[in-house]
Parts: sequence; structure tokens; C-alpha cells
Amino acid sequence: MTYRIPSRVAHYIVETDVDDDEGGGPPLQIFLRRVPGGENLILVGEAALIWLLAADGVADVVAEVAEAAGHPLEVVRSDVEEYVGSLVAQGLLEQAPDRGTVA
Amino acid sequence: MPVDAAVAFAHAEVQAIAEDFGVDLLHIKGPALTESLRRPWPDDVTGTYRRSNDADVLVRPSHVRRFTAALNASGWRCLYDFADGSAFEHAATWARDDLSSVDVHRYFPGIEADPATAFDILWAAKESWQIAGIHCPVPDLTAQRLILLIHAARGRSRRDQADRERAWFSLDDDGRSDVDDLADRLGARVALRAGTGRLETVRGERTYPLWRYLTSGETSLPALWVARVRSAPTLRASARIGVRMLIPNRQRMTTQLGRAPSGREVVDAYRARFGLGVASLQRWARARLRRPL
Repeated sequence: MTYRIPSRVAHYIVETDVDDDEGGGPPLQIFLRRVPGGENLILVGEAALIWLLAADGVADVVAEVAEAAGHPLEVVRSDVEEYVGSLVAQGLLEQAPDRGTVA
Repeated sequence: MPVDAAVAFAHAEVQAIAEDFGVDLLHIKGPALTESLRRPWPDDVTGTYRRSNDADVLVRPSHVRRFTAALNASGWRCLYDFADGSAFEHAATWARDDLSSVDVHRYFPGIEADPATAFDILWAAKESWQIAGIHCPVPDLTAQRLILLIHAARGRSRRDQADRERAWFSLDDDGRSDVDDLADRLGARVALRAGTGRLETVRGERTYPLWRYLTSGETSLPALWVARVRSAPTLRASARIGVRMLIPNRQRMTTQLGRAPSGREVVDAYRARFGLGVASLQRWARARLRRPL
């Protein structure tokens, strides 16, 4: 299952130094807002990473997060799936149409 | 939230409102500019990079009333109405607490064509640009350059010079010709010439005195008053502008005071304004008399 950004979700990714070898740079930050009239929301660190991967259409978000975090799949699976589900429920992500579907 | 994010979200927010209420608008300046025109520039004083602090949109003139009603219904409040802003009365400022403010332009100073016709010309060549991930209509590159140049014509900061460099001096002859042609179609010839160091080539044009004032560095109220009155398209417009420029603005006073001004404060403002006008008019007249013809 893949996801995408709904057409009415504004997003702003705070640029960070991704080449920081020490890993001590500021965590990834993403601001989100459903327009018009939604609240300003901020995702930080792993929450931002999960949203970004899902929004980018990554097919297996769980695997990507596990690799990025250096944890086994089984450890992160339920948390990631639950979090992605909550993002969809809040309207901050939506399921992308099946690529095999003819529009 | 970073200022850049608040500005980008303000663009996204008003675009969604415009779509919901059937309003045509173009996003201009700031994050609505193409990358080559948008590089940040260091502040003259602090050396830090300066960015837009608000969002700017140009609204189809016949849709302005509908759009401002839509903003009002969507939780925005009017800080300055058109008559409360600059001497051009071209823009109203709307705000809400969780986003940057938005300047709603009903026309752009320097574009002298009928505002509806000018908007049609810009709208016909519009492009789509994502701001905060939301598709927003923007003027095409030539129009972006023109708007940047006629805006920069009114300023003398390093930022304005950098805008001129990016939008004009770095262009080849074909690029400049495209901007010149569009300026002619929009009635922005004088403003563009002012913004590109060619103002003296249009001496004698109706709006020449105004742009000469705006590019001269002069700051006296009487000189501006004379330039605005002389550059108005009709006698009626001249009279209206002349009177309005001498009347204290209640909305601006309310914003500055944080409350509605009292009757006494309004009377004092009238007295100060006219006093300032008379005193500076006398200084200006003396300077003019001393200046060789």
C-alpha cells in the first residue's frame, strides 16, 4: 500500500544538515496544515521521517524506517503502522490509487 | 514556526479559500517567484538573510469584494483596508494569529492599464507553482521580472539593487525586449524605465513626476503630494488623491494606538498633519525657488 499527500495539505520541511557525520544536527522537522482553516502541526524526528517516507510514495514504509532507525522490522512494525494509520485518520496522508487502476 | 513556513502556509491558505469561493488570484513576490529571482539576500545592517515577512496576492478586480468577504468568513481580519495602506491605495492587509499576514492587491502600482485588463493579460499567461505543496497560479517569468522591477523602482536598498540585477541587468537583449513589450501592454512603461535606470527617456509622460519622486530619494510630503496629484489620470482623481493625502487615517491610528482614537486625538492629528504640510510645503517651495531652472 502506498500513500500520498492530500491536495489540501500544506507542508514545509525545515532544511537540516543531512551530511552531519556526528548525527548531532537538529532533528528533521516538518510543518503541516490542512487548508483552509486547519491547525499548524509539527512533526519532529522519527514522526517526520515516517510522514516523509509515506508521502514520498515509499512502498514499504516499515522497512525503510527500520533500516533508518537501525531496528529489526518486528520491533518497529506495529508502531509505524499505527502511526501511519493515525496520519491518514487526521487527513495528513491519503492512500494512493493502485498503480494498476485505470483512471 | 519559521517565518518562511508561516508565509508559505499563508499563500496555501488563501489559495484554498480562493478556490472554494471561485476567486481568481495570482500569487506574487516572495515564495511565488521562480528560484532564479528568489535567492535570499543579506540584510544591510545585520548581514543575516532577509526573507518575505508576508504573502502577496493580486486578485481579479471584479473578485476583490467576494475574496475579502471570503477571508472574513474564514477567520481572517482586516488590519488595513485599501484606503488605509499606502498612498497608492492598492493593497489591503489581512491577518490571522497563526499565519503571516497577506497583502491583497487590487492592482499593482506602476501598472497604469485598466486593472481588469491588466489582470486578464497576466492571467492569460499564468503558470502553476507549488507553494508549501499547494498548486498556486503565478505570473509567468516575464511578468514576474516586470513586477519585481517596478516594485524595486520604489526602493534604494541593496535588496532592491539585487532584484534589479536578477530581473534586468542579467538578461540578454531578447529577455529585456520581452519585459519591455509586456510593460507596454500593461501601461507600465514609465515604472519599468524608472526601475531600470532609463526614466529620463520618458520625460513628459503623465506619471513621470511621480516616478521621478519615487526614485529620487526625496522624502518630503509636499513633493510627494505634488507628484501624486500631477500624475493622476483625471482631474477628479487628482482632487481625491490631493485631499486624501492630507487627512489622518483613523484605521492606521487605531492600529498604532491599539484602540480607537479619541475625538481629541483625531483633531490633534489633523492639526499636526496640516501643520506638517504647511511647514514642509514652505520649505519645499523655498528650495524650489532657489533651484536654477
